[in-house]
Amino acid sequence: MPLHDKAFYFSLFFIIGTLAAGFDLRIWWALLGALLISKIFFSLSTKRTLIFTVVCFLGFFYLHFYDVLHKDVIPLGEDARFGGVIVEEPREGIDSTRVTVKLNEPHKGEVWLYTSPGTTLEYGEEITFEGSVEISPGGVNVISYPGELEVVGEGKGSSIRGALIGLKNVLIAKLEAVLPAEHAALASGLLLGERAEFTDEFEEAMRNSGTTHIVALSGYNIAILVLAISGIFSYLWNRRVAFYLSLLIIPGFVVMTGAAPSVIRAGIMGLILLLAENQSRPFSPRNAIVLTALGMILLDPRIGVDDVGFQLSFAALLGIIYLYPFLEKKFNIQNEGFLSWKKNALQAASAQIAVLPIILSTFGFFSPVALISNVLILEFIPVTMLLAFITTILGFVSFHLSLIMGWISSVFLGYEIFIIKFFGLSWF
Amino acid sequence: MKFLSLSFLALVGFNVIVWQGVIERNTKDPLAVHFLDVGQGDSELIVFPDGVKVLIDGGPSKEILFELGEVLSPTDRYIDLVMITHPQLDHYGGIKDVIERYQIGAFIFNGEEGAGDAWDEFKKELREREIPIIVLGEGDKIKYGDREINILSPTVELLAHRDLNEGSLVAELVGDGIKALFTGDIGLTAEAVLLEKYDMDIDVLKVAHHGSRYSTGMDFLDETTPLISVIGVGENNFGHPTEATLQRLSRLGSTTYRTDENGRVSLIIEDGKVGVKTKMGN
Repeated sequence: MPLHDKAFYFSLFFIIGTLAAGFDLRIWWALLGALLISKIFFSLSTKRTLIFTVVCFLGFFYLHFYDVLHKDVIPLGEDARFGGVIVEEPREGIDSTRVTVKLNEPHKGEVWLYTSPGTTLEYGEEITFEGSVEISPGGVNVISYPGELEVVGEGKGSSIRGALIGLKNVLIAKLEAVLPAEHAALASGLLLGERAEFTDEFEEAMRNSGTTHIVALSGYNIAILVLAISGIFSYLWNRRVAFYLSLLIIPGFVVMTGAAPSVIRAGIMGLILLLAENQSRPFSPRNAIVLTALGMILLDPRIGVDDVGFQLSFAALLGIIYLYPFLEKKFNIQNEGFLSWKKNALQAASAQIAVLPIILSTFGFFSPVALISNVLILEFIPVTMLLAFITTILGFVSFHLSLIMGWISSVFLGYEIFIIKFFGLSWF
Repeated sequence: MKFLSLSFLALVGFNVIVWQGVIERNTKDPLAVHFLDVGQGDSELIVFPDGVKVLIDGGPSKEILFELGEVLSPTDRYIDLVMITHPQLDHYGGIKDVIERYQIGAFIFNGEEGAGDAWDEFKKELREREIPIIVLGEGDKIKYGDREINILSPTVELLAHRDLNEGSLVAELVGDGIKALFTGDIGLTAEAVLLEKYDMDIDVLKVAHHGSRYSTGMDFLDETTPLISVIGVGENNFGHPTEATLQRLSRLGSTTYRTDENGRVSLIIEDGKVGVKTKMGN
């Protein structure tokens, strides 16, 4: 068995183990499952089957081990005084501001504080506050309107991350200075994954129309970014420089945008793609996906079970990689059609079919209009991102130039918002 | 093929915006007063026929930005005057976001400083952006062509009142054959002072203090007799707008709109006639 196959099976069975543990399966069922998958599905030899079953057991064990180490120590439902460090950029929404705090001793764990809209708090500040912790329906520790909130220290976060967050905010401010609020919110979502200013109605419209994945920074946007960056750099300098610069920029971008699972996944995949290209090795999506998932699960084994974003992100990707070629053959696409609508429709369909089970079990509904809305929007996303990006950059040069470019971006943004809202109406 | 079809669409798009701009410029829009839906709070935007804009209050949060984004054309990033009636968060909270994103000619308030970090931060932002700050009070007047905004309150005594609300700037818009009164959060005390000093007959009333029972008294309504009343209100725990105030308004026969039910309420004013557009049903 070649090394890359070994790596693939090892990662896969380890992930299966953590997932089984996360979903509270009995260890015996998990091991039996691993045996069957290995023997029947992959037809591996008995020796390998045994080895990979043990790997599955390791994964199972790893999650429980992680749980014990990371158990929250937080009193629930009673008033208490807490101290902690702000570990994410406060998210200034329209009705409230959300502050993510990692608690200090004697407590342990993270809480989300909800405060009135507008805030002066910043990433990396140490604060103390009073309140009673409750668990939200999503399983997060939450304190609404904490009392006696005081800043007691600053600069406790990573300085690189702090600087990147600062950069992101400057870029967003440039968009906000020339675009109407709703357009600016969408442009910030597309370019930088900033979702704080999506109104509740807009978030719902995106869900109903099945467009959340394209308009809120995801693998799709990162892929566009990777291609654009390496394209520009190889045009400016040579491929070697382009390669090393991209290696730096992608992780920076992931951190800057808040490192959501879908963005991390896309970032890592992008890096692997770059590496494979640079080393002139064939890019194996199978290994890239599994190794990316393994890396993320090693960092936080709970992510595979608790984070719907993680599940959706991988499912959609699997759909596009494995289902799309099948459908393409089946429907025998010769030309791509006006604005590549056939290709986009099939890709959207592949992703939708793959995420369907997760969507149904998590949200309990599925957007039947997703296909149409995706076809109508997808083709315009890269050009919108490009125009919005030029708008921000011009913002540093001249307000009026940026305003004109913003005006042009607004046409596309307005169109996309219209489609999202139109297909986001309750149709059924 | 792909490039062609994209450029074709882009060209169609450009045409639409260019012509839209031309058409908009040729028609002279009438005087408009928009009561913006900003949740529990007040915000009114007066747009004069040649585009001069006066924003009175900004609601509690960023919500105002979405309203402005819909009312103003996409390239319009300038507001001539921004006024807050009094320094409370449900009136100036959103203004902080407005000054971050729009260019402002001047900022107007009643001279009374607000309390807390949020106000200090707000003033700091004004200074950093070098926005001129103007203090107005009773007797002051903003004149633009043959239209006027008269400041009727606060008097020195009202400004010193322990209740911040009574010290609200009260502005009367006079022009195009109508009078509209913007009352901030004044209560019965300030209303009595106004009745004593001025002829208060008006056509449009921004109902004071989100429809609180301690404002908009029967005496005040009997004198002002507004044909149209608008209440800026959202979800709240104060019981706003109160049944008492709503009943007083309906007894007077004033057509009453509220931003929590009607959404944004826009009045289009021409030669003494007022057309009303609401964002949501009537």
